[in-house]
Amino acid sequence: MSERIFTAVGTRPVRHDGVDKVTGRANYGADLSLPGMLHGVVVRSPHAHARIRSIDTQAAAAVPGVKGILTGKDFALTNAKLGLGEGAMDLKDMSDNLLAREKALYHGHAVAAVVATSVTAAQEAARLVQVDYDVLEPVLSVDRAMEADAPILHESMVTQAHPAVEPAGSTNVAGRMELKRGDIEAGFKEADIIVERVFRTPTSHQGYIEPHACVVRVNEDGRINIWTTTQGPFLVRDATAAILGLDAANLKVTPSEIGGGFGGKIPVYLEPLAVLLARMTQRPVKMVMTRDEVFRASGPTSATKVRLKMGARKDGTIVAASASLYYEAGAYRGSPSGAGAMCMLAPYSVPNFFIEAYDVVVNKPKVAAYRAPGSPMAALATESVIDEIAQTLGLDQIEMRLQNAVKEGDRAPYGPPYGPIGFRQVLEAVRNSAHWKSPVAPGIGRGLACGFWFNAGMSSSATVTLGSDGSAAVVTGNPDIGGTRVAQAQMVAEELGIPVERVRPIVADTDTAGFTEITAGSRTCYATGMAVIDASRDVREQLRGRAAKIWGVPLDETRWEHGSVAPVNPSAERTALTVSELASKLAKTGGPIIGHAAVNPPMAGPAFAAHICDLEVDRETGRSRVVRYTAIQDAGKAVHPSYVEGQMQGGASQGIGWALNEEYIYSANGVMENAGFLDYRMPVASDLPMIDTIIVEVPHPAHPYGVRGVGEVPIVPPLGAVANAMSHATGLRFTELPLSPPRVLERITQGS
Amino acid sequence: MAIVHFSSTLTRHTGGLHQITMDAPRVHELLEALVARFPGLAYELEHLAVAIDGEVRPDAAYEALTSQSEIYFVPKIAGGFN
Amino acid sequence: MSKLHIETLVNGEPVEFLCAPDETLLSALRNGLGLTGTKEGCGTGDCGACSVIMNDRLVASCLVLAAEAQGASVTTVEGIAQGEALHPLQQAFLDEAALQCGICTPGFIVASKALLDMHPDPSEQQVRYWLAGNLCRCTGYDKIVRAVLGAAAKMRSAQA
Repeated sequence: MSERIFTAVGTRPVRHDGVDKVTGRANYGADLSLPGMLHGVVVRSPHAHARIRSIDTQAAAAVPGVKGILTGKDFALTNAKLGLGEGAMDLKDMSDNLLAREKALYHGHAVAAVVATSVTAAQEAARLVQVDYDVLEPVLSVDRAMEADAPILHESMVTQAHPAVEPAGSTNVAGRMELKRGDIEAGFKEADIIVERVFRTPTSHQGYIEPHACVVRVNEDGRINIWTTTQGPFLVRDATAAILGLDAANLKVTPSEIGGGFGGKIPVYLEPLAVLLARMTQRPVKMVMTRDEVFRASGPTSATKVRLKMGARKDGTIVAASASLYYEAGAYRGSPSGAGAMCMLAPYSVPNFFIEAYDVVVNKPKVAAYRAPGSPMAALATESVIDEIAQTLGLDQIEMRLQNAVKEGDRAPYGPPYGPIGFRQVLEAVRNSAHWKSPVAPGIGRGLACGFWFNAGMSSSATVTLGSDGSAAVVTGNPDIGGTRVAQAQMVAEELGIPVERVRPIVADTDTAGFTEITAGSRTCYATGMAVIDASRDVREQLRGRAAKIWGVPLDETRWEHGSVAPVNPSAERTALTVSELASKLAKTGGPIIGHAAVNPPMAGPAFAAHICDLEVDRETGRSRVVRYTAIQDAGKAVHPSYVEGQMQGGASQGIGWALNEEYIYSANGVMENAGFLDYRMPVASDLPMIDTIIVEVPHPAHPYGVRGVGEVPIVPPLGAVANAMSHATGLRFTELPLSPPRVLERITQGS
Repeated sequence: MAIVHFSSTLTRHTGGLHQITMDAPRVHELLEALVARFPGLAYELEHLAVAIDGEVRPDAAYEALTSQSEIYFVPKIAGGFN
Repeated sequence: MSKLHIETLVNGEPVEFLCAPDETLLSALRNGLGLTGTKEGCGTGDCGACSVIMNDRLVASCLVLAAEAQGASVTTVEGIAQGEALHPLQQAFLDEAALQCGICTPGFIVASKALLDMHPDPSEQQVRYWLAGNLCRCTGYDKIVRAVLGAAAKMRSAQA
């Protein structure tokens, strides 16, 4: 595989959807309008925790232009679950999240929806919906949630524990899992040094720039069309149908261009409401969230508390680790604490460990997936503690990591042995990098941190059609968030030996594309890419058949050569036919050629990354600046290196924001006080330097080109890299994010 | 005979065994046989994915096993949207 | 409240529209004129996705009243290319892979054009501070800054 010479894969063509996106023609979620369209607006709870006594919609209904009002009474909670590969989705919770039934569980929880002829009328009516609340004490941290006298969010909650335990009364602990290896006590006895720290990270948001938006139209025949901005059109179809008790075959979901997701555009927030409102009024209905709503009611990621105790010998060998992870799930169960537990020691070979992970509900919006869900917060703990051990022992940061780094054949903390992985190569690349070799300037702290993430497989489909002009179209069902169309076109071009500009990549609706799982889990280039490659090879096989027909020879007397079919026994009349030549004879040789493939590959070769951060700290204000940053990552095989670099740079930037400034600031009664981009401080261009990248390529054995997922792992190292840099710059250990100026200044002033 | 590995959290149901070998044509039959022998595993296995030779498969029931197959049980990744 | 009748110039073409007194220029462009290339990311002037050039000034169209466009000249992302010929900034964004999801791209193109119209030879730092009003969550800005600097260089050499 490594010897394979690529022609299209590994090049940097212009993306096919690019011109539409730089000229403003590309249509995103909020860009569609239909004749006669109404506008839906959601009424949201002003309390973080409150029982809903009654809802009076009379005054709202009287507003001119109002066409309908929806409350929790208008559709029943479903008990259905939707199996979706990376974990079944509890639709009862999702349904209750769409519109609160008994209780509002966070500030911003939807309690009603109004549809009117204009946004203004709908907003005015929404203000007039009168909800009688019995306000309850909000639970705003895992510490409070787990106290014996804490208010309980869900009276019926039972801890889903692995291994199983006897249920013990009312609880806010939605889940608990353990990972163990070896003998933890014996392990710590071997240690010359033991470091134990507790780390905290705040609630933070994916921060995609495009708010959630959809348009729904019910056709005269009852079929329902949903246009929406989503990472998973099939998921929107299936979840909406199940929540509303509809036949999924009656729903067609067309994904718009998507303005960022990072996991946050996996759940449904608006679509089922818009379907109900469209059926109620028999008019198209558009719903668009405001930025305020995006912050208050869509997917943040968990605030976390992670305790890690790690022991090592003097030479840096890690001998034992014990950890407890407490992740906020938000209002309903489902934090990524389990993934955090699986990832936190994954880069290192630790003979004895015990990790327990808790999933805890609190009165905040239900967390959604966020890029490598759960891993960054766990890696912060691991990488900070390793940094401290290396520093205390006077060991080189890279040497200590290399000494413990996993290699092929070592068992992952979650069980099976690794296949070929690139972690050591990544660390070697760090050591050889210009950045690492450069001296650290005075007043600067340099931090190193590593990260691990899986590479999801799951179902994907692809269709490749060959035109009589020798061009091809490839149809898949994954919304293109960051250049996956061009990557898929490159794969078709690679397989058929035609120019990438002659391939048209198409993201299709749920009626047109074969079933395909979400654009998430670093899976699009890997899993959907495999379907694209297989579908292209199907085309190739059919082309061989056409050549055999033209030559009047059996199929096995033809063979594929890059871009053409060649006769096994050439003669004057029988010379290789190019794809274009064969395509021009399609009608004469049997009609059009369509190749298809559907796959469900396993989750295999994971991705590793390491980041280097140079941080400058102003000791008088506590303000810090990233002055140099390098991201190193094993991509397996970079299909379009520019977009791989882009994922690495984007992940680094998001992680830097998380580490330095981003956080939900809550009032005592559970109201987010900074629900806007001015106060929820994401990195802007002037906050960052250029972000250098080094792509390492250790081929993934489960993929024909060796592709590993690249989208998620680059957000795993930054929290640790920035925190370690801050520690080295100030001489103080920082264990609580964000490292915002007030917090840093306070520590510097205290001098401890 | 496929080699089945049990993590420390599962050994409480296997009488302390970390590893057994078992003859089963597919994952489906393997799981049935495991639960028949160690009934306590039923609940845990329902919530775990199967890794065959290092490849994690959430939908593994009909995957064929060979005498060399190495089986591990792996937590499913919830990813924050379940 | 009766609507206001506004006459203005959008991308060099005279247009008329009716708007409510409190309607934003962003809404008039998107909903009134169907120019949906200008995006709404926040509605509070913090993200720059709605950037347009009004009378040679870069503005957040979500903070401008539609009625203020009376007699003005407005340039949106749809008016940057000349027919089929992309503006050098647009071409540079494509060549440098300076967009991922693309939702912020119209705002960046418009804001960068406003910068280069005034300062044809900006430094990296000037580009970064000028574009600090435009949020991008995907790219980490690296390739955007490179694209703007690259386009500026191309435009200067084309002029020379």
